[in-house]
Amino acid sequence: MTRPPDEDLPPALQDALLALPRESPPPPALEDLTVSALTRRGLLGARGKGRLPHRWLLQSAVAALLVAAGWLGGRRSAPPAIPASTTPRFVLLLYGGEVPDSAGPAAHAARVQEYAAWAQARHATGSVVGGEELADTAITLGSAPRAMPEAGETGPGGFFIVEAPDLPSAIQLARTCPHLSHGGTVVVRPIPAANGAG
Amino acid sequence: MARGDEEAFRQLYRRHAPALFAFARRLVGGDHQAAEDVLQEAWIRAVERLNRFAWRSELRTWLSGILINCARESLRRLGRLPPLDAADIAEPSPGPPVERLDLEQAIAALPAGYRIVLVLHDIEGYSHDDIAQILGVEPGTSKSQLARARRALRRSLEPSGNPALPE
Repeated sequence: MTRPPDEDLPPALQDALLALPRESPPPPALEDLTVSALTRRGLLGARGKGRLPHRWLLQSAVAALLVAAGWLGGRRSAPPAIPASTTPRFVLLLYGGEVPDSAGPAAHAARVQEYAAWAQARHATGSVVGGEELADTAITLGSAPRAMPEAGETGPGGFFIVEAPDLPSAIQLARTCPHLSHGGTVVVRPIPAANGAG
Repeated sequence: MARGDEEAFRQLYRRHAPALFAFARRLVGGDHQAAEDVLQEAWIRAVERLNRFAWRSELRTWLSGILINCARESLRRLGRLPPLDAADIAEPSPGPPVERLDLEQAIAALPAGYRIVLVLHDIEGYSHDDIAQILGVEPGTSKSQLARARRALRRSLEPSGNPALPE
């Protein structure tokens, strides 16, 4: 964090404040005490209470990436264009992978954190450059394709756009997506260079 | 108990608790027991409200907001938090020079109203607009409180030989 010089805050004091440790482990017993307190209140292990909709999970994970990229925060109506690049781009379409019905809100939150950590780490290195959530609404126009989603299904819950030197590299990147370890499906599709690169 | 749910919570707790505990301890002025109580209460409220979290901000930011409220309530219960909007809160008297008062102790010794604004702005990086929204005051009040907090902090660190401040 950097700030312009402030006459109320000499540089040495500003530096000293910024250098203060940001973490301090709480007493180890506090974790168990907190879990016990939550359990007594019925907030842990309360099946079926306060759970979040499954699609929310994918949408939230993508939203977390967009927050990391500074694309959200009151500017949902006008997301910026994905910046130009000469590196080949691919879209990772995320299907399925719902959190089990037996899971509670904390399990949902932990899953979102896992996805967000994956996306943010790769955003920092430039391999994940964007993403977007998809609403449940899906309007089909024209002739029905061969593989239409079954009733009640609306296709992918979200997508990531990634950069990789080639398709095998993109597949390798997609294999690290935590969506796969939760039973989800990730479809990798190249974006033609005229649309995504150059 | 659903084991998966508990384990998921423990993962969240272990990821965020060290930063939240350091934050809580500074907000309550170094009172270790009060910081533990604040942290536990913040987690309880967070889990209660988790399904209302819109994920439009980072989870840490959301948790910090809950923690700040819990810390202020704790200070208020202990009679250590005067209304921040009172522009005429008396500045602490300089008192006798304090030798070897380190920076954490100097922050902890500030009046709670000053300390909260200073911790939020100068350590955690909140803007005055953010602080005003969190504390329910005008941005100008946050600015004036910060100026007073900094003056009080500088004064408490003035005694010579303080090792906490680099040259």
